[in-house]
Amino acid sequence: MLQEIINFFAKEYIFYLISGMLIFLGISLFLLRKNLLIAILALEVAFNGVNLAFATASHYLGDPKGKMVVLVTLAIAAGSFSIGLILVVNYYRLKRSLSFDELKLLGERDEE
Amino acid sequence: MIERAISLLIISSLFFFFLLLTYYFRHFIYQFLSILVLMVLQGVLFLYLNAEFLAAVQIIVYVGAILIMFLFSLFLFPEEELKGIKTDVSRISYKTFIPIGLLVLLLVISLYRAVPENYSKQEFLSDIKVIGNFLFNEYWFLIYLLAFILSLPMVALYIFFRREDASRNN
Repeated sequence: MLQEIINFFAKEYIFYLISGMLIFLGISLFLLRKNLLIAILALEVAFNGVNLAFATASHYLGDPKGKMVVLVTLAIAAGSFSIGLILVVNYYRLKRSLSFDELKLLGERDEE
Repeated sequence: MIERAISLLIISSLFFFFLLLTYYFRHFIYQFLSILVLMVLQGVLFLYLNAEFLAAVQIIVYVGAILIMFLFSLFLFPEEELKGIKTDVSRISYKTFIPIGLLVLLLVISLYRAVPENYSKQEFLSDIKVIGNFLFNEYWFLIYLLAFILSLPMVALYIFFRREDASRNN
C-alpha cells in the first residue's frame, strides 16, 4: 500500500492532477462568482493550470519546446491580464458596479 | 525517490487545502491571497520538473510583480464591492458544461494518443542553457512578436486615460 502511494507520487500523474485542479478552479470561479475582478483572476488561474500541464509533458516526454510554450504563455497572459484590469477599472468608473448583470455598455443605450 | 514522493505528497496536500480555502472565503482579498499561495506552490512544482528558469519567472515576475500589481489595484475599489461575494448557481444551465466536457474529452484523447509507448526520458542539466538556445536560435521571431504584444498594455493605458487629460486641460 505504501509502495503504491510512493509510486503514484513519484510519477507524473500528480502534476497532471494538480493542473486539472487549477483549470477546474479557474472555470468554476469564472462561472460561479458574478464579479468581473474574479473573472479575470480566474482566467489567469486556468492559464496557469495549462502551463503546468505543458511543463509536465515537456519534462516527462523529453522535449524542451513545452517549456518554451509556457514562457510565451506567461508573457501573453501578463499582457492580457493588465488590459483586462484597465477595462474593469474603466467600467467601474462608468457604472459603479462590478456585477456581470449590468454588463451592457455596448448593447443598449441609457434611458435618459 | 521516496524523498521526492513525500515532498510531492506534502505540496499536493497544501495545494488541495488552499484550493478549498479559495471556495470557502467570501472576502475577495482572502480569496486572492489563497490563489497567490497556489501560484507560489506551482512555482515550487516547476522545480520538481527540472524547470528552474520557469520557477524563477513564476515566482519573481508572475507572483511578485503581476499579482501584487493586481493586489494594489484592488485597493482602488471600495470594500463593499469586495466582501460578501456569493456563489450564484441558479443562472448556470447544464448546457454550459457541454463544451467544457467536450474539451476535457478531447484533451484526454489527445494526451492518450500523443504519448508514445516507448520514449526515452532525457535529463536536462541546465534548463537555462536549453531555453536560451531555443529562444535565440529557433524562436527569435516569436521574441520580437512577444515584445510587440507586451507593448499593447501601454498603448491601451494611453488610449483609456487620454480623454480625461484632454478634458482637464480644457
